[in-house]
Amino acid sequence: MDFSDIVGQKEIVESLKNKIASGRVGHAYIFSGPKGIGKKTMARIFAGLLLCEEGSGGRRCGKCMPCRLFDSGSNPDFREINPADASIKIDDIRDMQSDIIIRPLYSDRKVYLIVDADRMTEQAQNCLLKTLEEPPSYAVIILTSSNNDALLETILSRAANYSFRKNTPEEVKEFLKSKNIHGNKPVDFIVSYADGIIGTAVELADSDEFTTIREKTIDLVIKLSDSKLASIFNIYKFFDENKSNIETILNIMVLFYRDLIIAKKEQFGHILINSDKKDIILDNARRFSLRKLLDNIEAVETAHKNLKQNANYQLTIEVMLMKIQEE
Amino acid sequence: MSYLALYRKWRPLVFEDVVEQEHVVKTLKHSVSSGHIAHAYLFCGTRGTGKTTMAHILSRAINCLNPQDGNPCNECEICTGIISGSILDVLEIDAASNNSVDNIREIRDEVVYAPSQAKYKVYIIDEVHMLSTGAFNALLKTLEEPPPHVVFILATTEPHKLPATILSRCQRFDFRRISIDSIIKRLEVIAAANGVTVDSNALRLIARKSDGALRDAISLLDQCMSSGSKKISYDEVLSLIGIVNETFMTGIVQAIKERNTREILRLIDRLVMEGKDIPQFTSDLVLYYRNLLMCKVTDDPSYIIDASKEAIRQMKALSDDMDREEIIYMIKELSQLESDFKWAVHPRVQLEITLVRICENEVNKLNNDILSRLSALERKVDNLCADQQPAVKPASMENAPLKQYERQEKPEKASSKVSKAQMPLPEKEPKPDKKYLDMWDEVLNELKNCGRMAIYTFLLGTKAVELGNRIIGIVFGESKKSNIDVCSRAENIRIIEEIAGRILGREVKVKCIDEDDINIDGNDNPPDGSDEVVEKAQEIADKLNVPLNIIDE
Repeated sequence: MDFSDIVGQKEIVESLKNKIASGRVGHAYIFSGPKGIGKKTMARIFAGLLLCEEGSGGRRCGKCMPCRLFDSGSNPDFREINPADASIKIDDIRDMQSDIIIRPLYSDRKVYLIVDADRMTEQAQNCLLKTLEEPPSYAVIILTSSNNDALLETILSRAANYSFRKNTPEEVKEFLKSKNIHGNKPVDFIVSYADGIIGTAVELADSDEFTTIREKTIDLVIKLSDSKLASIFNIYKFFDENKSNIETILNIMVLFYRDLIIAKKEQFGHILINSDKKDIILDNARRFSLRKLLDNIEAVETAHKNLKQNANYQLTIEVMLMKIQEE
Repeated sequence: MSYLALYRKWRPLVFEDVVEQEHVVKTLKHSVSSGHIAHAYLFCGTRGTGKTTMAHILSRAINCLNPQDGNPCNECEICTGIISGSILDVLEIDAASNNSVDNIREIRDEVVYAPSQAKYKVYIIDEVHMLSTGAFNALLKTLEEPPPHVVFILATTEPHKLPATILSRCQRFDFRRISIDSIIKRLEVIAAANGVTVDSNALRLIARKSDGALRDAISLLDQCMSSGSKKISYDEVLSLIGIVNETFMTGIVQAIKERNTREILRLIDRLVMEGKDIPQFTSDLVLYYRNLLMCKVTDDPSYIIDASKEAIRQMKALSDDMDREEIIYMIKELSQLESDFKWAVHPRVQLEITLVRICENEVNKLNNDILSRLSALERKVDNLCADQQPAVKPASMENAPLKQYERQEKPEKASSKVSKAQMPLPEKEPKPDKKYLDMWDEVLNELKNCGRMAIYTFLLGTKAVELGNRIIGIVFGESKKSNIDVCSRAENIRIIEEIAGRILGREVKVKCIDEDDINIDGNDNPPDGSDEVVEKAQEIADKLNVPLNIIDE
């Protein structure tokens, strides 16, 4: 892997490359962005480059001692700190601090990668502060975080913060195509659903279950508005069977209603998310009033929120269905 | 030596270089030059304001062999020794990782030894708020009366976490947030020294983004410079921070103002295509509306709004034909949206929906508008109920004639007779139900006698009618309608019920009703349809957060 394998994030790649080329490598970095966007990948590539002795132009040589060790995962100058369970504890950081004062063995640098740094406990973060501000001259510390709010301000201000941008839909599409993993899947939908996060897109494209659930959900949404009150209990069966995927289902519903609204408001359809269902959407858009659609979305959102707060599953879903059904 | 991050490279070495903490600098310099050195200092303030830096400078200044007007010379062997870390008399301790009692005990054991080279032994305890309670207490005695050759400097961002006993033993200095102008000045110096030119707009943006912390600002500058170009433009900084430019903001605000859904959707689509962060954009949008509001309420917004003259002029133009209420409404809605992002999987959809909804509502004048919409709604509900009423039950017929007579303002007894004659009623209905209650006057008199004059006056000229099994309706004529609200208050209703119950000799419930509505109210088993309507109205009212009073019997 090298920088050219990374989709998008041009500014970050350029900036990191420049840093290496000009020798202006700082001592602390935070890579932040949503899960699955490629923070860890980027950090590993960067670390590999920092350790390599002969690489140039953003590529590792792959032959030198540090590179070979790095590839086999046993380079002692590179250390990854992962949350052992739910969080990274102060002892993990102390451990790292006692390790960081030992000079590097093979390279000029020593790289520490703290994965999911937002899961450091408050004590652990405080413990890291001094080291993060002035580590030994050879050390580089990279933190990855998907939630900067969980990091102390004092941590954030000590490191160069690179926030990873969501990829544009085109980039994700290209990526899926180049990997040839989309098969006969609704690529456009997956791209939109993944919302610019390549990790999610790949995961979705790989899963057949996701495609089936989507078909069923959309089918159900259309049926729902025609049905009688009593049939809700039949419809509920579907939700009961897919309890583990409820979040996906609710999201698909929201996206579908959103598309109906767009179709109502817009005459041109290129910003539809379910672009492969264009006909169905245009057909159905007329059947609902705008207000009803907005209400439906709200009903789904409320259900979503309640479920996250551990509300009774059946009750929540049925209430949602009834709300959607009523005219 | 490897590359040093700018904020470390540019760590000030003399007091004068510390930005905007003159109040601290002056005091410290004076105490150094006059030799009045306290044994414990506490530096507090937000991140990036110069606490650690100040501690470093102070530790050199008091030890310097050749101090210059209170400043360290940074050239003598002591100064250079301290800078390079080869002199062991200045100890920087990271309290966050050495926070236990044992660490403090070590310090306590060491302080008794005289310094090896320097004049003072200086302990800089950084992030001191992280010490454990035990550790704080272990430090107390030493902190109060250390040997004469020891100086403690504590630094923290969170002084409120320190015990009062620690606070009272130290000279406390509060470090201010650094103003935008000072940050800009400092950044200019640094940029110039690195041979980079930065647009003044761009500098301002960096300064604003860093929220009073110089370290953040310098880090950002560092990041901008790492692109390698010698000239940094406003747009580069924008794209680095990932926020949108003014033109885009104005565009979307304009579109929202014009309720142009299509344009809004198009702009959001562009936002997504460019890979911008939606939650970040939303909070920027809130801030932009806040600025518009400031433009609206002040004559000279340039003091409050930190933006270029051109941008302010634009905001002013934009805010001119917007209501204050509308702006506040937008801020409210968008802030709500911001907190909803926590749950959202698709921030984009959330933003779209919220804006579409705002456009649909056309709520311009917030309260007034909602009220008028609500009253329209109530009227509709009433009409609906009235429409449904005749078709449903024979029971509902009983009241039809009643209504007629009321309109004709006939005496009570006559009305009841006519009603009987005109319309034969189902037998199971007891007769007195169909006429105004004779005893009502007695009830009123009793009220007066009990001293409930207020209620008595409000009820004067009203009539009462039995509505169903134990319910009495008080009928307010055309001229008395305004009294309904007062009389419907729970406390008043209770009193009326009590007295009416005493006079009638049985327990009754009382409802206040309008003369026109009597036919509805008399309908003691409303058809299902009306229930649904009422429920819906209630639901809508809930959504709008307005209490809705529906007389639903």
